[in-house]
Amino acid sequence: MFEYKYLKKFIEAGPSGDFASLRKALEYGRDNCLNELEKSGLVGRGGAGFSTAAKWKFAWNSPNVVLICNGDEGEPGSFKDRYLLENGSFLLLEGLLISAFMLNSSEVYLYVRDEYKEALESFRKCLDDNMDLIVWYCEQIDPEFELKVISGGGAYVCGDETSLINSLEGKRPHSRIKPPFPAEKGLSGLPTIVNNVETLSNLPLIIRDGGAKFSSLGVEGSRGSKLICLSGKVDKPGLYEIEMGKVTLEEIVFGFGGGCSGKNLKFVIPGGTSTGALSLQELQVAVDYDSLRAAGTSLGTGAVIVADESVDALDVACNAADFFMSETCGICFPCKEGNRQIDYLLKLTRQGKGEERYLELIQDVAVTASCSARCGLGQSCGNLVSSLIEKFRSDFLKHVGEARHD
Amino acid sequence: MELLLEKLHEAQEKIGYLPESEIIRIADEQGLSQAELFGIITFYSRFYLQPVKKFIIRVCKSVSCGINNATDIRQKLEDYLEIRDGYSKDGLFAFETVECLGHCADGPVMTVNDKVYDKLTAEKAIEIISAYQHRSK
Repeated sequence: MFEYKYLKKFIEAGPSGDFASLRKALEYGRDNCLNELEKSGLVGRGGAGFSTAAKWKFAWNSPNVVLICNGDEGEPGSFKDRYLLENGSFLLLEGLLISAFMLNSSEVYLYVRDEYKEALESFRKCLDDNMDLIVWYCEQIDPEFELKVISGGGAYVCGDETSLINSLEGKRPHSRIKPPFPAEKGLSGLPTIVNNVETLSNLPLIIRDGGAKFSSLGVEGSRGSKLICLSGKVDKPGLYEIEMGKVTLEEIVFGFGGGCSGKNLKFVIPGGTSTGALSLQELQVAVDYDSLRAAGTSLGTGAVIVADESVDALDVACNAADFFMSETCGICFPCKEGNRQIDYLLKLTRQGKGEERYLELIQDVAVTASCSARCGLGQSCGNLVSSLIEKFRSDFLKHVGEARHD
Repeated sequence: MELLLEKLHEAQEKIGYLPESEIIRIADEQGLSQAELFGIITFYSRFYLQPVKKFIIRVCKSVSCGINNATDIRQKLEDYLEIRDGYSKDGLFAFETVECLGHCADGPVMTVNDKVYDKLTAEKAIEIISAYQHRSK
């Protein structure tokens, strides 16, 4: 089992200092660059998987576009952005400058969660080391250009772009109703593009190698490579890179991860706590956006969490429910109240005070939240819990049974 | 222009927490009411309204660490430090269980004043904390 190293190859080679992709982008001009980006088929790596070029086109002809790079990586199981910031700051910096040039953006923010002290330090150092490049960019391209590195205050919901924008504006960081989408009306009312760290780190590669090379990797709908964060009950956890669509979840867990120390595998969460779990029988699914969607779950951030037979599905469900209850921003009812109810019913079940009908109730609440919540947090909060109830019902009923014997 | 988040971080770094006097000052500067600013600050988990202890221990409780016995580590540390209302009996530590710290491949994980300790067992965690106690004597 070999890793497909594309992003990682660049990062492991270290900074070359010549910023050749940026220079090439400036030579190409912004329209040609957009053409390459479109050809590449790059989609956002933060979880939603939306086409980057399509997003940018909404703001393409607008003046005063604000660019925000979202490094508020809080999805349990995910640590790829931390890896990129700590080891590949130079690549992200180049990606940010290329993006700023393409979007004609003078106001650029990198928003990193406050917990990532080393990542923040690493990027700030990279910025200091390359101050002459920034000065050069200001002189040659945009005298107004400013890149600000902001550390968050500790709130998972800021991973949602509208909440992040409220956070930057100095407001209580809850989500906003869309539309208007940020690309139309975002930070301080200006058109705002928000992209994930991994998304923008791919930009220099696309410009350097051309969009066609990038889109030759992966499969339709999922072009390029993807960083996979492997954790949980697995022998070799770590950060792996794959060519999308060419590797199955089973290969990731057993090939890269080496399995679960001889124990039987129970389930795998493919994309962080916001995504539904797959059982052992379902692991032969290719890891790309469409295949995982067809399997009823999602690639999410690429945070693959493995659970072996020793893990109780109810424990994991309680853990996820507790997480979403404490991290909901509380502004929209389905997410605020829904998560409180899911958490309440699961805790009752764990205490042996549950009833079988609670399981249907929880799944109903989860569906309601997914249909009616404002942002990605609420829309995906019930995915994991619902899938665990569906696939490992006996783990839940076991506790209901306990109550009856009391 | 300095953003509100930057101001809050700056004040907390200088003073160690955000006292009422700072809330009044910053609210004034931002054109916010004190209640509004209070609402913003308390939304976040990393700003403190009370003086913090010398060390803040944060133990990750999210799914990956949870699967790898983070609960056991938390309980044993709580017992060892005799945690009550979030503080240790010796007065040196504030104790928090927090959501994902982003070191999932090396879990279970805790931080002490943001220094990361990974691949923990309960014994290892207690050893690390007792070293902090010794150094502070």
